[in-house]
Amino acid sequence: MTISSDNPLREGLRSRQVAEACSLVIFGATGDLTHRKLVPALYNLAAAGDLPPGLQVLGFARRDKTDESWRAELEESNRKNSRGGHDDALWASFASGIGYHRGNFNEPEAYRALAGRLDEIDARGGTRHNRLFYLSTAPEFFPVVLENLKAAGLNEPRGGGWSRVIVEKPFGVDLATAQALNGVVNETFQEADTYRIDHYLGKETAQNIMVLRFANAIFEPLWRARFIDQVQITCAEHLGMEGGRGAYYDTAGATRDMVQNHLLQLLSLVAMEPPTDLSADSVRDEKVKVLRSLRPLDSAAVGENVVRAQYTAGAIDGVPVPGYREEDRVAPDSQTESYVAMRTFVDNWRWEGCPFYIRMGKRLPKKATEISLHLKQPPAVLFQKMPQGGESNVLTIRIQPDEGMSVRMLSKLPGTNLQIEPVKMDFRYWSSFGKGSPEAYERLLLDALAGDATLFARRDEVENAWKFIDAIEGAWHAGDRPPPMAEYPAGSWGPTEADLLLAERGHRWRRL
Amino acid sequence: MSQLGQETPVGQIASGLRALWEADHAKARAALMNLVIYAEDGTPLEEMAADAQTIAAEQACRALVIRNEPCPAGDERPPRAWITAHCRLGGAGGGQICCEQVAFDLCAHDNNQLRNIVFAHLDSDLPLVFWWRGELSDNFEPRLYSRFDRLVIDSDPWPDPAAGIARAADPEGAAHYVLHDVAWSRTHALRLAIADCFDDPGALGALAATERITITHSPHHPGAADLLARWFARGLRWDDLQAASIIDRQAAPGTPVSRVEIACGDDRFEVSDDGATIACAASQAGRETRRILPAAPSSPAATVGELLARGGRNELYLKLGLG
Ligand SMILES: NC(=O)c1ccc[n+]([C@@H]2O[C@H](COP(=O)([O-])OP(=O)(O)OC[C@H]3O[C@@H](n4cnc5c(N)ncnc54)[C@H](OP(=O)(O)O)[C@@H]3O)[C@@H](O)[C@H]2O)c1
Repeated sequence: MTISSDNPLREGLRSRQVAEACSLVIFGATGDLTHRKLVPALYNLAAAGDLPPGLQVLGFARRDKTDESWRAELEESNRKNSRGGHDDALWASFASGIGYHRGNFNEPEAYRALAGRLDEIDARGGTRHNRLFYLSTAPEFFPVVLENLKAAGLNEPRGGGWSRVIVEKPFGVDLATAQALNGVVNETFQEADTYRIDHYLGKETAQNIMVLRFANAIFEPLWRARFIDQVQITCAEHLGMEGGRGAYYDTAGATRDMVQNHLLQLLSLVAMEPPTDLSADSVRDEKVKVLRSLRPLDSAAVGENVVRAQYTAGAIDGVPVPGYREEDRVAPDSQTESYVAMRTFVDNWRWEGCPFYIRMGKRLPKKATEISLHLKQPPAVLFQKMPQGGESNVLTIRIQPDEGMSVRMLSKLPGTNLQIEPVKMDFRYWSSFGKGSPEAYERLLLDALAGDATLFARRDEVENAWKFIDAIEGAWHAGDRPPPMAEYPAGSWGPTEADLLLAERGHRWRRL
Repeated sequence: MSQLGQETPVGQIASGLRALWEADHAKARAALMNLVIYAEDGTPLEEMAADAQTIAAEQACRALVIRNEPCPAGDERPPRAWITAHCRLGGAGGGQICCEQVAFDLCAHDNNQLRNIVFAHLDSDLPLVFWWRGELSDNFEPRLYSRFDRLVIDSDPWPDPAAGIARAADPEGAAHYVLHDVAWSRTHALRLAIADCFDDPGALGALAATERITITHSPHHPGAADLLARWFARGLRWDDLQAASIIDRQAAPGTPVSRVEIACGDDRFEVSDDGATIACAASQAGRETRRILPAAPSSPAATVGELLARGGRNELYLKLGLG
């Protein structure tokens, strides 16, 4: 049942859609994501008064637990992981709506029992027959959970309520698997009720890209190839394969793990046309057009425009670290890239000829995700003739961890000589606002409860992104003459080949 | 050096502030707005500076804290000023973030001095938020308020809130700033909690059949209770007569509004604020529910900080028929 928009006491109270009461079932209740992110996000929403009254959380996993023992575990992890601290009274109130349901994902009986339990909850009133299923499990379980939900009739809205599903990443490993998974999802839930998580979209600065672009007359006219020389999207991580993550990573690699989803999402936000309105579909219509405009890469083009690499032994924070192939649970002859850099073009009216450079790497010197737009030089008369003129204007959007934005410009140094140097105007969220930004999962969970899918990936977005990535993966792993795997020492800014890729057009990677 | 910082001749404030920053390069200066906290009612400057610090911890600002004790012509004394910075640790290992504060002690017999002091010390292009503590005086005049982006008042202790709000809301019919009333903002968390009770269509049906609303408020905050009553009346489209017969107000010691009880036939909704949390209890269609929400900010400064963080145009307030 959707919220009554007729509630006269809501006037003026919120500028966003209101989250609706429901039963939220988390598949993967005992997992890392649930403990570290989902429950702390829900708790912080409750602590901010943003959760709808009547919300019930039901965890589903195999291990034998009671409602009380699961609550106690969640309380302990919430104390460690909650962004805004832990208050006993607020926790007690929030936790009174938490329960545990034991079951195996492939056991239909467990879903029938779940259905019974949800009916009981609905009968008590308060959840209004609304159900939100969160698939926080390894991706191989997505189909079986969805099929069993369907068999138990849990996918169907009933009693005037709604039934929605949130699907975690990774969404497929290529176009074929993504399409197959989308097939299963769409046979189970309506596309409008499907929320594919891309937690980058929940980040404050990612949400700010549209505001920056379309609410500021200073930027909007410049946001096109006529004035922008190149765009760079960098996602640097200093971590390697600690904690056994090599097992998963070696099957995926930097391109599938980060570029297909997060970085292409950022690229779409930067390159999209203004949507006709702010509805989920209008925004996503424009984003998908960008993905469809990405210049396709054949094998030869992959060799020319994409660099893949693995790190060799080096140092991070001054401490020696092993190379990628020596890492725990990574094959010694692995052909998986821990670094990728690419030059891509958005072949549409706005961006004709402007390269978008994307790079993502593990074991780079620092952790940072940033977008930079490098403006063209003014005419080469007057100051631009001077040797120290250099690149004049760069607009940078810092997605994480130091959220904010900056504009670089040239300025005269004080003094009687004419010396020109770059200066930077900087806006940092943490220095202007004392309260930290909400965690991405807080925003995304609230949106799913409110039925707002703007910050979730739509089926065609996911599939178009895979189509682009598949061409690259195909050239690397199925082509006759795969391009070589480059190397870079851990703790450096990537392979020389990536620098050369930019040098071909007289560009350089931005120094972060 | 006093709690207000370093006393500085008014003519040297800009250079004094520069010296403050030069002395410690580890500190970063931040400002999203100019915040003026102004009082003519004898509130000590130190108290206002503490309020500025509370607000600056969440909203980076250039704070001007001004105490003005109007004095008769001939008795004026030159203004005194102090400069300091309120610092906090930034997140993400970001070092110290500081907001400048300039405190002024004025004794002026006309409004020229106040206006000049304010205008001369604003950080250019940043919005101007003016928190006028106490009742509006003759110093509230167009040449001053035409520069405001937001005006914050607290109508609760005013003897005639309606007249004061009318003056603050539309002086000369040309108000273009957003008006905030702390008395109204104080009820924000309660209103949210109450609205939450009626999203459910069943409960909404009950709301339409409301028979009695009891608002319990502290004797010092009749204004907050009055605004809540007006809010109900507007939402439920009651005329004054209906509102008077349904809404009952009771004064009792406690938080500004400690309890709101709504009786609709057999259904009951109760939202109470004990200062630590807000508790919502409902008994509707035979079902009992209870939940806890975060409490409203307790001090006026925290309320102002929160209303600034929310932003917006606060339009509903002006539609409540006050002023
Ligand atoms: N962890 C993160 O930081 C993170 C970040 C981004 C995305 N994700 C995504 O989130 C999802 C979950 O990740 P995770 O790290 O939380 O995984 P995880 O720690 O391995 O947890 C998996 C969960 O699935 C349950 N489970 C496994 N097999 C089951 C079965 N046959 N029947 C019932 N329950 C079963 C496990 O519970 P029992 O063993 O008790 O049955 C456990 O609760 C994945 O898709 C991952 O890619 C995770």
